[in-house]
Amino acid sequence: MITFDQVTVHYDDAPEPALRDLDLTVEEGELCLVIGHTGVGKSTLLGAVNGLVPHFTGGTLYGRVTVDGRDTAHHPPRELADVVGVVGQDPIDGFVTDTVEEELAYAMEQLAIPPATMRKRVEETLDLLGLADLRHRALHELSGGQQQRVAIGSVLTAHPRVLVLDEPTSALDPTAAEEVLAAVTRLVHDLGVTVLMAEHRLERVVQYADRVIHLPGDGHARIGPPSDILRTSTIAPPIVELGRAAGWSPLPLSIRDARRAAAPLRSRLADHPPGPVRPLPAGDRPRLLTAQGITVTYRGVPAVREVDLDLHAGEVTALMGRNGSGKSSLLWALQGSGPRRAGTVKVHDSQSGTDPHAVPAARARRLVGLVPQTPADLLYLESVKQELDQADTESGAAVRARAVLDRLAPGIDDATHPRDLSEGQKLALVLAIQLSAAPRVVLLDEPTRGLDYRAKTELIGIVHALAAEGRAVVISTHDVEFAARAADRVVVMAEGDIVAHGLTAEVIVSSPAFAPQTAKVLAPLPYLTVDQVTSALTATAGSDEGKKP
Amino acid sequence: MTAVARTTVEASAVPSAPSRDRGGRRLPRILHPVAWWVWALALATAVSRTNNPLLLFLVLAVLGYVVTARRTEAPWARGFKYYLYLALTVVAIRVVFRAVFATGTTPRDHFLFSLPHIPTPDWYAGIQIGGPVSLEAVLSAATDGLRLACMLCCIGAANTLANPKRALRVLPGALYELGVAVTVAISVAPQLVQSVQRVARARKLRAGRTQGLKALRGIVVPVLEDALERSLRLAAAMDSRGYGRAGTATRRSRRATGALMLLGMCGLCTGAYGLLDATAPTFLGLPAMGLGTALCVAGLRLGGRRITRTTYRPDPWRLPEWAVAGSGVVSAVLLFSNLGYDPAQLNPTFYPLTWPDLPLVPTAAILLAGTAGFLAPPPSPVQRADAP
Amino acid sequence: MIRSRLLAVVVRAAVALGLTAAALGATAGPAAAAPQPMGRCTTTSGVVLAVDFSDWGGPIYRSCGTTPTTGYELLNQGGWRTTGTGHDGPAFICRIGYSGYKNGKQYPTPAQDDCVLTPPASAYWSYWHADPGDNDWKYSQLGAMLYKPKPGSVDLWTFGGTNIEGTEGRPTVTPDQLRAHNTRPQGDVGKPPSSDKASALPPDVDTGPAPEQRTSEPPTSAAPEPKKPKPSKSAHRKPTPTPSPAAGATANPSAVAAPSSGTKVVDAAPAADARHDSGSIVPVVTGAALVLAIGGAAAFVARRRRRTE
Repeated sequence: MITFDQVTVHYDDAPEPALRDLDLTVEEGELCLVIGHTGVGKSTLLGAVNGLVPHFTGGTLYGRVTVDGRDTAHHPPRELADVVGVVGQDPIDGFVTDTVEEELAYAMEQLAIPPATMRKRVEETLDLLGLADLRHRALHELSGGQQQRVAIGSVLTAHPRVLVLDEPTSALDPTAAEEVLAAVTRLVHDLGVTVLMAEHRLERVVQYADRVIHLPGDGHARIGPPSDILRTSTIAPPIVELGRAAGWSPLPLSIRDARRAAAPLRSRLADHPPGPVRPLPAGDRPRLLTAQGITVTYRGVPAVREVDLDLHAGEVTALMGRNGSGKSSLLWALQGSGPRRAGTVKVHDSQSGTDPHAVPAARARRLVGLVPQTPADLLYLESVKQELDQADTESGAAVRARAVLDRLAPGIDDATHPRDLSEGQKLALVLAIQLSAAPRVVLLDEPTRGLDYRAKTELIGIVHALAAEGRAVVISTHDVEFAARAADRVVVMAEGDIVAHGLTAEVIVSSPAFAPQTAKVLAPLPYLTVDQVTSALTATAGSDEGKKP
Repeated sequence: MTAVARTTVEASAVPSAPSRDRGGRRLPRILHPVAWWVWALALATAVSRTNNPLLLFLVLAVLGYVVTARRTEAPWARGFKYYLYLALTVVAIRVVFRAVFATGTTPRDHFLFSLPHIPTPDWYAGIQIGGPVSLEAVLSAATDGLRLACMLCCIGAANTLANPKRALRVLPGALYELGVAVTVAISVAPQLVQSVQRVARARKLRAGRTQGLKALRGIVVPVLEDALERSLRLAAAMDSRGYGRAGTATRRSRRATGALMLLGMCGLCTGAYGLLDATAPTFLGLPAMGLGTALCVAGLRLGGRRITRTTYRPDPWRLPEWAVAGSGVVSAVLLFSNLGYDPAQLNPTFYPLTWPDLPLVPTAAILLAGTAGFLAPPPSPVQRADAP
Repeated sequence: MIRSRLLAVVVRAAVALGLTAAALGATAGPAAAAPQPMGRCTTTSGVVLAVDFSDWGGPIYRSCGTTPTTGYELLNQGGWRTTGTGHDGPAFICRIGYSGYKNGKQYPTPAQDDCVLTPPASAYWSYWHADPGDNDWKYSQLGAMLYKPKPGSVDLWTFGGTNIEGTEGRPTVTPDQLRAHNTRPQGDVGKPPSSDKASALPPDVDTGPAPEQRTSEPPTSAAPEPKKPKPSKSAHRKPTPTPSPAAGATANPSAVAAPSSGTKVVDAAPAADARHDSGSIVPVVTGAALVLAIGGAAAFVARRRRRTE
């Protein structure tokens, strides 16, 4: 269906080609997963399928890409619209019309499909993706998962043979991601659509993949069945790492397979209570922030209802909940910049405590530092150095921002334009800017968005280092695997209320939606991360060996 | 009166597919956007004819009724009140201007209050600032403003009743690109506002200035970068969904289209000039206008041929569309016909103060336009958003 | 929302109506300038006002007023009455009427010009002056409310269009045909027959803008520069120069001089104002009731819709 024949893509301003000598064939009806770290050319590979690379992005493509027999060299994206449907990362940016039904019809109108056929296909697509109830709704009113399904539907109506999805679930909460993935697998199974999908959250998608294309980063690609590729790939979801650690073969990719394989492991670990994910810092952990009765409303609609929260030094708290449950509003209210209708916030920098909302912004950021959901909103200068210098002047140089950045993410060049940094580097830069004011409470709003496994691991390191310095850290996130590894405590919000609050292990293990893969596989044992399992395995191996002689 | 006029309207309509099921209530559906626009523009034209506050208030009431009765629940259909605010502002501005840039008080005027008089130099004696303000001046300024406000509300009603994006779809094929550009621009504006709010909020986190030129940079740079990236993504999405697929146009036909359109536009401009300037030679007026229109139509036809595109659920044009558009046009014609009433009644003067008259025919004409509230099919029942 | 807005509009209208009603009963202030019989004007005192109705088949009326006065006061006393435009206010003379001519009917008629916006430059009342002894018309540089005629001068209003060069639309009569030639006042020295006097303006009065903005260079040498003519329904109307005696003129018409154009010049004696009828309140009540009824229907529909939601 899709054939790459000795494809090399070279962008004009890049020293190295993004893809090198790629040979690839994707058969009809396959769900093919593209994996790799950020910046290894996943988007280039996906864009080359419908000719966006190089017709739209520029650069040079050597070799031949054919889709359903059409060479992309002679067919610009618009001429391939009836064969390839492309759904981008942020569906809302790709919407042309304003209601669900019209959006579904847009591509067909361009293809001059007769009105009667259009109507029929729209109805079919509405049913296929479970959008029938939303048909007249305005697109911007929909939730993230619904928007993503509409985006998929809007390309499906043209009856493409190939569907290209670039990180379809990266912005979604676990439940919404399930919705979208269920729709995609249904397309593959029922309609035989060929799907090419890139995704960072492998734990969500790997079980559905027929084949995996792994881009290790040297421009080449490895293609094969998922269990083969993942056995040795540089990135892997927790379930694969668990399989690797336990030495299972064949490598299980779904929770069901893994649980079957894990029976011996469970009995082996039954007597070994897991060690802590992260040793809590010793000594007393003074309260740094007390919030009571926080209420936030937007035009009378409550976003946060009477929330109480204490933050202690050295603790990492994960704030979880579905999209729109009030996580961001709570963080902004705690920092003092956001609206707050009722309640008190006290940062214990002195005897009485200071309300960051009541003091000037410059003082508030010395009490509480917040990194917003889109960190780039804070960056407006031409180079990293200018941004850091600006931060030093803004903060009165309590701590040199450059020193902080070098500790968080070493090796970022002074002259680089902030827009050219990767998502992880941008996050580190903004974090460094905020830390230059030396706040003892640090709030991170959805920092894991768009980060790959490596960047997440680095972020966990950063967060733990901040906690070790005696700061209180709060991270709002959808990513359960991240929360399981990074947080000491978890707060779960729903409709503005705190519905669960406690130690990570207690809160996360009991919840079907928020449980990490390791916990699901090893339940009822309270293991959360692969690291816990490996250290327990080493311990048991040691004791077993000790017993044997 | 109204009933008679209504039957004439319906009689003039084409007896095509029936719009109501004979069993009872009419089927809810959306009226063709062009019908609403014709109705509203005709009513605005009628309004332009009169200065009579009674008639103007009547028009406002009619607009209010039709909008409440026939608007949908879509986002654009909730904006009529903003047009009313705008209308109030217009009236207020008109009154304030009349009071500040005084236009003279006659000895018979009813003195209300006096503003401080700012003397202007002799060579600029034409404009007076401040001075006494009379009731007559305030009333006539208010009616003058009210007329403009009514016309604004007519446009607002059209925007509320008809989906602006759907209305753009009736553009001829050759202007499709223009329609898309407008559509995208309309949807970008709110996003830009959101983006500005988000960045301005984020600025506070850095304790950056929120005022002055430096702050502007801190806000403008991220917002523009955001907008640029977003528009690139939109362009990529539109491209991959088939926007701008080439039709059967040859280079020659494209050139011919361009030439026809250009000449046609020149003709239209000359025609407009000729019509508006009384001293211009007569051949510059209507003939040039007609020629320009003909050339433009030919250009659009030729350009439309290269478009291969269809429309999803095209809006039908049936009896209710004829009736609604007709009710508006008939009321405009009645207000321009001067039949059965004294034209002085349309523009009563407040010098000296006189109660305005309520001429029968114009009143009936405006009420006739109001029958659009019954003639149009009811909007589809509410599709409630299940989440806020 | 719409309902409350509607309510506010209704309340506003009611307040405006109340004010109007109160004002209709109010009275005017003291007098200063006064209309005079024609004989009271001499070569050195009083101002002659002349208005050319020949566009509607009427004569040129002339009357006399005392100084100091303004062009506007002169034109609004002794039976004369003007109407301004809705847009510019009373200072822009849009219609002129004399109670002695066609029962005080004002010209142009509403059918010819609705007097809402500024009339077109091709059909409006242009304002001309001739200083004492001067036999040439000067296009007025000031509006009627700002211009203060000199004793012994002549003011002429003539309807039609003026062009940029000032060669078209000039009066067809000469100042000498209109002005008073007696050196001493004649006739009855007593009170003018009309008690209707233009009242004095309130203190600190603002007499409004000139109808056209012009430079103050002498218009006899440099031509007046009217605005670019605009088309209008009355633009191409042909004037009817046929002289016709004023029907129903209350004053004794006495032809003083036969102007070259053939238009009669008639002395207009100070006359009582045409009776002003402030109209009936019935249409207003009917209109308000209609608006309320429709507004009520809208409110009812809005409530029903909200309930079904």
